[in-house]
Amino acid sequence: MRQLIENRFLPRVQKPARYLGTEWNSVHKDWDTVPLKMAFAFPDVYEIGMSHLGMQIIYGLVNERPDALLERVFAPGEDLERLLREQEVPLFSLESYRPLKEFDFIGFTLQYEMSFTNILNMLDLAQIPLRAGERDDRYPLILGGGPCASNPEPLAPFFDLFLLGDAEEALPELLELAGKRKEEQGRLDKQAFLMEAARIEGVYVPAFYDVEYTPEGRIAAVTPNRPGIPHRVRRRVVADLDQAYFPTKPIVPFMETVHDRAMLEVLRGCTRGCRFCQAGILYRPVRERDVETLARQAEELLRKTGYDEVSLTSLSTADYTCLEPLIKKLMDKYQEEGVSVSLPSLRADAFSVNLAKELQRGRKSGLTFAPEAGTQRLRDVINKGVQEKDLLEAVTGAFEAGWTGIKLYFILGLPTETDEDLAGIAQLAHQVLAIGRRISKEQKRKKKVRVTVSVSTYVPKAHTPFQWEPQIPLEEIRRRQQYLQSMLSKGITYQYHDAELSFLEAVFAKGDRRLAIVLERAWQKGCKFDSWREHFNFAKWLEAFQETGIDPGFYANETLGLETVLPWDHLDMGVSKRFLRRERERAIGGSLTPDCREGRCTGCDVCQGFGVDLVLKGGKD
Amino acid sequence: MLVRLEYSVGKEVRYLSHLDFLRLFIRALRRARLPVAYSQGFNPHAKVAFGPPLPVGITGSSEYLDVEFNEELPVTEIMDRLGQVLPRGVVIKRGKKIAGKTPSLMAVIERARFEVRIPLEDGQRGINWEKAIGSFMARTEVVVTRHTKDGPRPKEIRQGIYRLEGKEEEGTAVFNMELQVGNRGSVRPDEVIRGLIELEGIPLLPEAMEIRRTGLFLLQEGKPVTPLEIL
Repeated sequence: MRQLIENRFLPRVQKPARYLGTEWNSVHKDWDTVPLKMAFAFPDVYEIGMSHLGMQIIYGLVNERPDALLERVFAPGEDLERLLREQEVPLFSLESYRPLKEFDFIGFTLQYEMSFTNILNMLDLAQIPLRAGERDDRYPLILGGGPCASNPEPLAPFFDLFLLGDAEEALPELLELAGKRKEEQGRLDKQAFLMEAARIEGVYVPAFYDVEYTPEGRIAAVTPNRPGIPHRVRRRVVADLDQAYFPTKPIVPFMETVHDRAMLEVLRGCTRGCRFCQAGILYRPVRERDVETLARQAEELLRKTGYDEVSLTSLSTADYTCLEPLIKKLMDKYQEEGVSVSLPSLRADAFSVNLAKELQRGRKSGLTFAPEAGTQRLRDVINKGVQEKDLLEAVTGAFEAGWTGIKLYFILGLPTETDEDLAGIAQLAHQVLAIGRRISKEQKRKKKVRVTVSVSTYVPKAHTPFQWEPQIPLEEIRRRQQYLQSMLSKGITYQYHDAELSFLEAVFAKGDRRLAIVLERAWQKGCKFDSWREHFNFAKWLEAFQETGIDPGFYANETLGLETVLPWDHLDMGVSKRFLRRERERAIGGSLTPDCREGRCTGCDVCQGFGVDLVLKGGKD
Repeated sequence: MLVRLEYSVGKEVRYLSHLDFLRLFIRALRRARLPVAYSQGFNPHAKVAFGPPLPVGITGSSEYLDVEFNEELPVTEIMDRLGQVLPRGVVIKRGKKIAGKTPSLMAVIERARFEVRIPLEDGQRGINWEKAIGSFMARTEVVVTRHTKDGPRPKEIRQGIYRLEGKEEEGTAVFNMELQVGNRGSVRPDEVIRGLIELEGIPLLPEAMEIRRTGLFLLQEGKPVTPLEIL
């Protein structure tokens, strides 16, 4: 197999460096002496998958165990896929070039809904039957984890189990169990293993639940169909990130990837409480790492990788209570060596701009801010605590410091949005442009000021205060996109997402098990890499819905009653429905809910439920 | 201190681009904690300079790289420390300190030697290599199609072929050739093979070709010498 791939396939593909598997820090264990074999599958191309911190965490976590090995696989490019299909060669892992079907587990990371067709395509390329029911003990167990595992229902028939929450907790327990059973029995009896695995907290075995429907087609009940299976599966939470595993020897790719730098995870979670944000719910509570832990991890990371840039990653790094001491420490130690420190995102305030100023080396090309909505009214509805004053101050600071490009990120179609809110986006953008031009003129700069308005379409997500809300209809998305464009002057660059793609995302984000056949049909029709504009084929998707008799609007565009059983209600993210309902009410009333970091518990019930607490290293104010 | 290193590129890394190798060495030098010199200015870059890029898919026995360091260090120590942090397939073979000023590798290297191996099937045995190659080398012009980013273009390569030998070795055709490389233009070994197939009618399967660049040379009084020999 290796010969064939190396000598016949790789010379004929455009980016062979994706498929080498021998990158620095890649782990090659002896196949015959390691009892447990797991493949980590990222359902998108190498360059995207390798930029994902979660993959690096799990890669290190499993490979540090003497009893297990973990190898990687990504969605192959079209050219390699054609060769594999032509020659009937099964999809293989990068490290040992072994067929995926020889592994005990294949773990897919579920990062975004529009990667689902790639999962089916990868299973098919691996010559593994798509449906769990069609896979006997000779086939690997198919696992899923990541944010979309919080509502994995459209994928339910294809997977054996899902891991909810932080994988550092449940995955080792699962491997432990598998190791024991394999040692006793020489192999894994799938059904018996799944019965035991389902008792591990955070493990969801979809086949062990029956779904009943109401006459209107909504969910009547989701109930366990075996004894001893929990009614609700609760996500796992790492209580103390300082004790948690962190990979300080991540794989260093040969080719350039999307995030080609060392990643230091400073904290997990965000309690700002933006009401549209799913990540803000799924990763609660905020758990910060200690500066000392981070400094030690940064040292190891830089020494073991050779990177010259460290990115301080998290959902909102500017909120890290020890950010300034951490940055000072890193700069003092590594600036001489030419190492730069970067932040993945900025808060729209002066503090963040000052930080960016400090960190930026060389060219100041562009900064991005996310006011999310165009008016204070709507920003209050979504609980985005950004004031116009803060944003304009931040932008002024950025232009004065020498930046010439500002990108403003907005969401179109948020609940209660009107044309007035869209007009607010245009107004804000023009204000920013005017500030930029004034400062540019004052400072006699040659470089033209660029303001970009980037607009995505709102997709209501499970487990958020807006989970009952519909997405605005497709036609209305298009109308609002046009309307906004008509109000923006030529000096502003306007980018917006494909409305049809956002519509499908909304269907699957709030979907149930009945969507599995649509997914399968769309894949059969050739849908894959749907999030790539050049591959996305909406007409085929519509055919798939039509042929299966399923109305996508039923999922995307209907308002759900607060008492409706939701397809994901049996999956417990720790945030109570009571809290979500209250937040929804407050949203409609336009009242803000402060961040619980400021001292007052907002009653989301995560900490009490998990027996954990906020971890703030700078202390609570 | 400027040091010239000779390294080999094995099968494992033959699909890396020139840019990938640049990134690979800079990161390895950092992992080795060697005091590499950086340029001044807004976007400082490490002072490393390569010879002519190794085409993607080809292995190399003797590739070269110049690195400038901020401190004096024994060359053996540099080779040792770097050798420990290189991915499999990249091996440091030799090194020498460059005393005084030396023109860059790119500026001086003019010749490259290649070994091309192509497995033969039964019907392809017993070819009269001497005759075929003699006839090929007797031509004053060999035009092949080169695929450039502006589309296919005709390209004369005969002037850039300095030596060509071929023989059969245990069912494999083995060619050794010395070709023009560098700033004034390069001839690629696969172009020579394609020319042989097309013009001399030798039945070879170019898809199965394995190519190794066996050496890089500059010319001193018309004779090829390696970039280390001149130091």
